Amino acid sequence: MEDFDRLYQAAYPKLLRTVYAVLGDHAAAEDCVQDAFVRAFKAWPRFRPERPPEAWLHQIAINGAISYRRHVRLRQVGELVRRLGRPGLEPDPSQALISGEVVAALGRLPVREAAAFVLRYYHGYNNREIAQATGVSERTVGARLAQARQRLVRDLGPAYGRLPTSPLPGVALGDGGDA
Amino acid sequence: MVEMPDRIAAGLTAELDAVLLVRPRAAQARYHLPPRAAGIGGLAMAGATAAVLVIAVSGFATVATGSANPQVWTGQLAAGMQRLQAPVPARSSPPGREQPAIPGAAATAANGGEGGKPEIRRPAPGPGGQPSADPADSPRPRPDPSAGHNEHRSSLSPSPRPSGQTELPTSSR
Repeated sequence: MEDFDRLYQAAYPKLLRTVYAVLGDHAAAEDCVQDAFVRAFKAWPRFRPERPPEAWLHQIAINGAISYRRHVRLRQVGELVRRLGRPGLEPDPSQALISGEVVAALGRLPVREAAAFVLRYYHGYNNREIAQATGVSERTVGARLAQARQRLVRDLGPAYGRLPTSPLPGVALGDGGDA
Repeated sequence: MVEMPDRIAAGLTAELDAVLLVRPRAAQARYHLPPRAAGIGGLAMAGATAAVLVIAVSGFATVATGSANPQVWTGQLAAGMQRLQAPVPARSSPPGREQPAIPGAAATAANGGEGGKPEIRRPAPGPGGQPSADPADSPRPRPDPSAGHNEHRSSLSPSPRPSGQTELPTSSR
């Protein structure tokens, strides 16, 4: 029990940020992460340290996020049917630089692609660690990362695309771009 | 291959770092809750399932019996059970006295066997010797013309003939 409590305190922030980036909803992310720890707690006696516990927890949390997203989509379909004929609310493309856009764009990706992206570019996992966290092969991880990058660049538009010749004001860059 | 812009990674880092977290305390984690809390949801689910079943059975019984009175349901159910359990009664009427299915056959049977055996309809030959092939004619049992009955039997047939033709006696025999 104490080991699991220590694991909870260490892994909870990382899991919460990962699931929040995937779902885009803080409350839903908390709910999913708590459910993930409940499931992990039940399976804790059977846990084998063949892979890192954080990767194991991430897999449980990501599966929970997938289930949550599925339920949300079903509810959205029902709402869409009820709103037939009424104009929908389209996102304003001029708001690309407002904070939260990246998370919002990640929320539009498939959960597994978004999770792989967050694990790589936020948590710094390599392909092997991402494969352990998502339960797939490293090759699949590479394909998912490529698809996620492509979709994000397309979705976020030119503001997040290749760097222009002159840098945009107010944006801190590393070494000057990917040109 | 699409190059990953640094700006997206920087934006992601900024957004996720801005997520304010209260220091997690294991004692407040959901897995520390007593199992009773999770059981409530299970009881609620069982209750909801039972309610749905009751409603479904009531609706089915109402449609089947035509009444919303549960006493009617039980009465009909009991009657149906008795019918299933009762032995099949032997036939009291002789085979030759079977109730006919259509009025026309009843009248035919009452005539003492004239045309009692339904005759296969053949197209009657027209004036030019050509058999009439009127597609509007429906195959229906007709009395044997050789018996000499030229009665118009349209009044005995269950439905009028669409072409409105009357039967012509065939005297060619």
